[in-house]
Amino acid sequence: KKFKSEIEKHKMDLEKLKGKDPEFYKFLEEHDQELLGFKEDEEEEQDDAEKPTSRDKEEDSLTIAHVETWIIAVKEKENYAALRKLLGAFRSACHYGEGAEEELSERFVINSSNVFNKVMVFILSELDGIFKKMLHIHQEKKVATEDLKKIGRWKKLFPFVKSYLASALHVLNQMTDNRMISFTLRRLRPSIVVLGEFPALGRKFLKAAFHFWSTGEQSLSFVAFSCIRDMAMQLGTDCLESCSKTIYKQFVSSAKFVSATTLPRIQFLANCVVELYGVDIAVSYQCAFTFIKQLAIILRNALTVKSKDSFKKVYCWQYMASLELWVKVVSAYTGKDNLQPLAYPLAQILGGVSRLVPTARYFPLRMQCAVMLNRLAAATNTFIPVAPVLLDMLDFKEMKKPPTGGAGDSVDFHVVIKVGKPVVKTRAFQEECVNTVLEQLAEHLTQWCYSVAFPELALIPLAQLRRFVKETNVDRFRRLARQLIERNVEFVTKKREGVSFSPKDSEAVASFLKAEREAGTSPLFQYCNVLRERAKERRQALVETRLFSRFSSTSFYLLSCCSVEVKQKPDEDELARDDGKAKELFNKKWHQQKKRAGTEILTKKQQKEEEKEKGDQAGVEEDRVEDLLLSDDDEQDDEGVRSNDDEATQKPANKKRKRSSKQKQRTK
Amino acid sequence: PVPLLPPEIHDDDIEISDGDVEFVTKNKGYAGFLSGLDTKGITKQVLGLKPDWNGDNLERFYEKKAKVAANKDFDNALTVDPVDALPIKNPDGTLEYRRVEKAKAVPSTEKKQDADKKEQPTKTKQKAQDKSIKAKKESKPRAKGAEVEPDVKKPALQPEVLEELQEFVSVEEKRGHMKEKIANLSTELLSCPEDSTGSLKELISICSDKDDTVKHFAMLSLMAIFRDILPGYRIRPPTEKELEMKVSKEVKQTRDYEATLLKCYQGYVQTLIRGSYTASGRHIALKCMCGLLEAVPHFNFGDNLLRAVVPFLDASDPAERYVTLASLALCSLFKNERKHGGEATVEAVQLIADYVKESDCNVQPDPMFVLQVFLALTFDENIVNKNEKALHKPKSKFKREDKKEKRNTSADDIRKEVAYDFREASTLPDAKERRKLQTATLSAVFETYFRVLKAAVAPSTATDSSSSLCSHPLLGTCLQGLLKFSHLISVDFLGDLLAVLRKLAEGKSSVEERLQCCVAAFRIMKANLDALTVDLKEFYVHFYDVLLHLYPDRNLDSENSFAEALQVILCESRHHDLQRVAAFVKRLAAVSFHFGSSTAMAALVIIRHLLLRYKKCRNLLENDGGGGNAMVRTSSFFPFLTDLQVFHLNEPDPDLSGALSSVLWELALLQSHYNPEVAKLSQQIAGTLASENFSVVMSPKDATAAYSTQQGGFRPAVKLPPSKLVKKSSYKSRQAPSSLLDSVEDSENAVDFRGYFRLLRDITENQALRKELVKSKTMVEMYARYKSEKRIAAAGKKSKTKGPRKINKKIKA
Repeated sequence: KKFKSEIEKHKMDLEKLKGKDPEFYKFLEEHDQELLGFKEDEEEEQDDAEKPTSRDKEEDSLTIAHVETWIIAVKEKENYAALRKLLGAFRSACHYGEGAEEELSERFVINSSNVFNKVMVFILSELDGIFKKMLHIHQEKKVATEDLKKIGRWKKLFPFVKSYLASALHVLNQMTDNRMISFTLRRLRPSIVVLGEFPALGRKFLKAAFHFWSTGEQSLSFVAFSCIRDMAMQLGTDCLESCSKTIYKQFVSSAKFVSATTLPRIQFLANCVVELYGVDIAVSYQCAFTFIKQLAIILRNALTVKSKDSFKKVYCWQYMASLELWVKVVSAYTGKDNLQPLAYPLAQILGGVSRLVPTARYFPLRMQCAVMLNRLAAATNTFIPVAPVLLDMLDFKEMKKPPTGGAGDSVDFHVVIKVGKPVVKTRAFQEECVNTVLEQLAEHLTQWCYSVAFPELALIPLAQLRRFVKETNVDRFRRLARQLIERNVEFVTKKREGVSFSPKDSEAVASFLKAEREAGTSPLFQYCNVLRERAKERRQALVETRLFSRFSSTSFYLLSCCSVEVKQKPDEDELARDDGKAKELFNKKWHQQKKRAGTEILTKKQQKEEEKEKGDQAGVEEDRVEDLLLSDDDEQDDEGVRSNDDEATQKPANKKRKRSSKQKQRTK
Repeated sequence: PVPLLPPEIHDDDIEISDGDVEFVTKNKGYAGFLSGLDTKGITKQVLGLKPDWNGDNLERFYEKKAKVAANKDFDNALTVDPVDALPIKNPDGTLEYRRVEKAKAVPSTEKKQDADKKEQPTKTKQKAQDKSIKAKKESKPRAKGAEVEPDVKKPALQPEVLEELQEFVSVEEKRGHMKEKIANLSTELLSCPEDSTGSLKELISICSDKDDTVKHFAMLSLMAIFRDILPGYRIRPPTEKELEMKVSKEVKQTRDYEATLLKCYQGYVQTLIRGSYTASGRHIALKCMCGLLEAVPHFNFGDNLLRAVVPFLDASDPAERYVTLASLALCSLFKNERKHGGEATVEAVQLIADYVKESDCNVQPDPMFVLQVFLALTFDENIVNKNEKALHKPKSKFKREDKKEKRNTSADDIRKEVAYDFREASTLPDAKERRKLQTATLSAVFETYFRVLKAAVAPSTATDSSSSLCSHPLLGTCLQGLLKFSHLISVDFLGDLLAVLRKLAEGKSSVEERLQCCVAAFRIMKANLDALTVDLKEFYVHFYDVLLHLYPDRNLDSENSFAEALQVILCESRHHDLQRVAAFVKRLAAVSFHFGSSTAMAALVIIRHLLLRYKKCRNLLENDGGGGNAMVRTSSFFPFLTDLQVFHLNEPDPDLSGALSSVLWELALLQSHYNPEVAKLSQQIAGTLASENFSVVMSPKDATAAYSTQQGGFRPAVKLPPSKLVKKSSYKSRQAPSSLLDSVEDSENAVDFRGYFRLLRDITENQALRKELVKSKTMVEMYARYKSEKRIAAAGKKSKTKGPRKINKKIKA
């Protein structure tokens, strides 16, 4: 081998040196025993290692032909020997490039990338099927993990399966390319049934999957999530419980920073969590209960201690993201036996959070709380007092006086918690506040616009709006607020005149105005739709300027897939209606994109090709960190190289060396 | 031509070599000519033709010159960036930025150099001291520098400067010394106050020490001492007659001691009061005064102290803690009346009243405290005991509700008797006195309150536009106080008071204040049930309106005050008109939609209470047809209702709203309230109230307390998860995302691993090569070392370029 020959040459050089300049050699011996000794040791080692390998060299250096014969043997005859060989090859392929310290009993030497590819692709994509065939398990039929033990050949196959899974998991943790990882994960998914038999490997697999779920890009994240979900479903309650806990913790740690760019990703992650919590409601209730309790404790601490630090623990993205997550989870699984009882603590926490630090600077946060409360109320069909949270905001003097801070940039309330002091005084901020307050108020009232008690419900909000109209100096706000007033009161009052039931007849109350509700004829409902439309446009304008310019199409594609999935579930129509403008927006965007799909697929392909080309270069760049260890004086050694490579002169020294080594290799 | 003054060189900049010093000391005689200098002649020459320049004029002239020179300097100098070096603030407030001079002119004339040399030795001595001063008193050396400037004057100024320096250096020393001294004196005093009046005097003299720090030490320690040694009685200076009388030695001694003590104390108090006027000593002085007020309010000069302290209740600078200090002291004064028998209280209250009067109720920024202290007042209603009750019956403003006595009756009989006798014995003699005092206090308090109220009402009629929410800073506290002492208000004032409150309740004051006004009015009414026949209808109207704008969930206090209002206005008052009750029930139900759960619970509790109490109002729970909006059949029970058939939600007057004909639809919606308890209660009210009778009635206050979540927590508790999970081995996949996944993902199908392989191979090779490179490099280094060593060993043998060549070759390969 080349490496070995290098060393031999080196040894010879040393010998020569000894002959030519014995004094220097002596000097070396005196002053740097280590250097010489190290060399000699290494040489010896190498020699020792060399002997067996050189003997087996012809046998073990794999060729395509070898592999293909094995594959055929395995595929057609279910040959165990060939299977062992193949797995050995797979193993060494998975451990490839990890240096000599990995002592393997049967080591195959893979020299060609074609062979490597062949082994990897075949094993990953077909071995699971072959195993199942050997175990006489049909692909379609679902098999529980315990059933495996009953199958006769399982014992015989056991070591093979273990080797396969161990190697595959090993390589999974080594890989860096997203597409390869997602491919491997996807291929490992059918084997999850079997993974249950190996608890250690199962844990390793889950760990890797969680890692990729929370850090990987969208498609990979999605694959990883489906693996987690399958795993949890296959392995039963205990596994599900631990998965439910881990997934929440992972979610929280990845929701530390929210901005316009990370928001869709966090929403995607949240959707995944919601999905997992739907597997077993009893388990979810337990987990959700403890985690919501944690949030409540943090809030209580802030309420009692009242220090800046304790406030900060509540008024941060992590807290808000978890709240939003739980609102999503609870709204997704409503109903008596489901998570409905958790709506009460959540609503109370949200109310407490919104009231914790009542300053105008935290209005975005307050608004988020209001949105969540509205969503929760709509999903659980309970009455939650959102109006005071909103009307209190209109009472701030910042909302009544004309702004002094100039026009200002528009603020996206979904991606900030707090605004700067000067921003509070800008017109854009004021406008956004009043607009969203009115929207959310309309949203809140609309939820009950077919209720018998609507006129009474609207009494106070309308009184306060009237006061706001009187006090504000801004004409536009006056107009907006006035539009909201008294739209629906007449409608319900008139309808109410005809009924004969009393407040205690709950069934009759529930069926009040049912027909109108289904038809959506209430004036407030219609007005609210207009408002929603307007809000959507406003937000779209904001998002388009900030977000779309940066985001690749794939993420939206996947994200919308997710939300479509959520929508498909039976009892979630209502949720989908209120499920945040963002998601709807993405759907819309997605449809638009579908139309343009042709062009985009093309660009995607191009990107992929580019990525492939970049493959080698990426490797170079990854190495750079290690290369930094070398100091400047390398350049003297590199002098000779420089003439070889013109390009290299502009690039860092380490790259040069790299290049030259590659060239060297190619020439060989 | 006038010779220029030598450029001002900073002392630190002049470097004096040992040689120079030696030269000067050796040849002192050389400098002798200086003494013989004809200063007049020089001056004459310098000033040219103006012989009348002398003395001050001369100095002025030089100053002028210096100014010109400075201006020139200014041009030459670079102004240091203000960011880099902070400017120096001169005593007159101007800022001076440091400058770096571009180049320094070298003194040109021989004579001046000589002169310089003479000064230098002395100057070097100063240097060390100078530096230490600079750290603290930046301005002083500068001023000194200006003085030292002219040659002629220097010798004269030296001692003065030196003195100043010494003084400063010794300050630290002195402080330590003084501290010790103060400590010694104090211990002496405390151990035997009668014998050590001398040390007391000395301590007081230290109080007027020049050094502020020492002064403060002395003040504080004196405060502690006086708190200990002052007697528990007021010292009365002996009359002349008494002086004439012959007394025993002991009496004389005591008298002398008391006289000295009083004198010393007077001096001390005066120092304190003086100190409170100066900016530097204010805090300490105030602290001492407050400490004295707390501990020895009964003693002489207490009124002086009070007079000094009261203005601090309204300190204009909220950053300082004067307000808190002062108010705390006064509160404790009010609470511990036993110490001074109430005299100090009267004094203080009257002073505050005067203060408020003087400042025209416009007490500035931190007004809360001014009247907040009144809330600490307690009026012991026990003073007038039963015997005297008969004597002072009619005019008494006190209610004779004696809680303490009640408690005692339940206690042990004997103990009670003893205690009673004891108290009678101890309080009987000055009960009258105390009553008088309390009357005075009360009148002062109410005088203040009424003044504030009056002020609050007056501008709202005069200048409408200017009265914003905070225009009456004292109003909130004032109303609070009125609430607290409402039972003590004289009947004579009640009429006026109610009128004022009414005005306030309808006015532009904040919602909370309006609520407080209403509550105060009802409280007052309740306290004087028999005496008053005023209709509070207007207050009902106001309260009905206030409910619309209230937001009681902000904090615990507002929650409680709301509950209290409900209690006072709707629970405890007399029989209501049915129409009004129905209107309030309706409004409260509507309001509870938008309250937090605890306040909503309070509202619902009241609704239940009212519905239970007024059976007719239960009509609200039944729909008689028309959904509460249609015409109501004239019932035989309420013939007077015929003209009030239709319910108006927005009618401001509860009596006219026609609520009795409406239906309590709110309960239908409240049943789906997120809080399970609220939902439960509303369901209860809607469904079962008519049939069942509730014996246990919760008050709104209890409800608020029971369900308040202002401090976190959940009330009621959240439904716990089941303790045991049903374990399942696996779950059936329901509409797994797998189908979606496959359809999405399989499009990109098999991945090429070749790139990965190449990458791995490259990495391995790279590592191997790098290892080799390191090896070669060490070889080269070793070779170089070997060579150099060889050279040093003087072997001189030249050859062996083999090493490096070899390595080069390897790399090229």
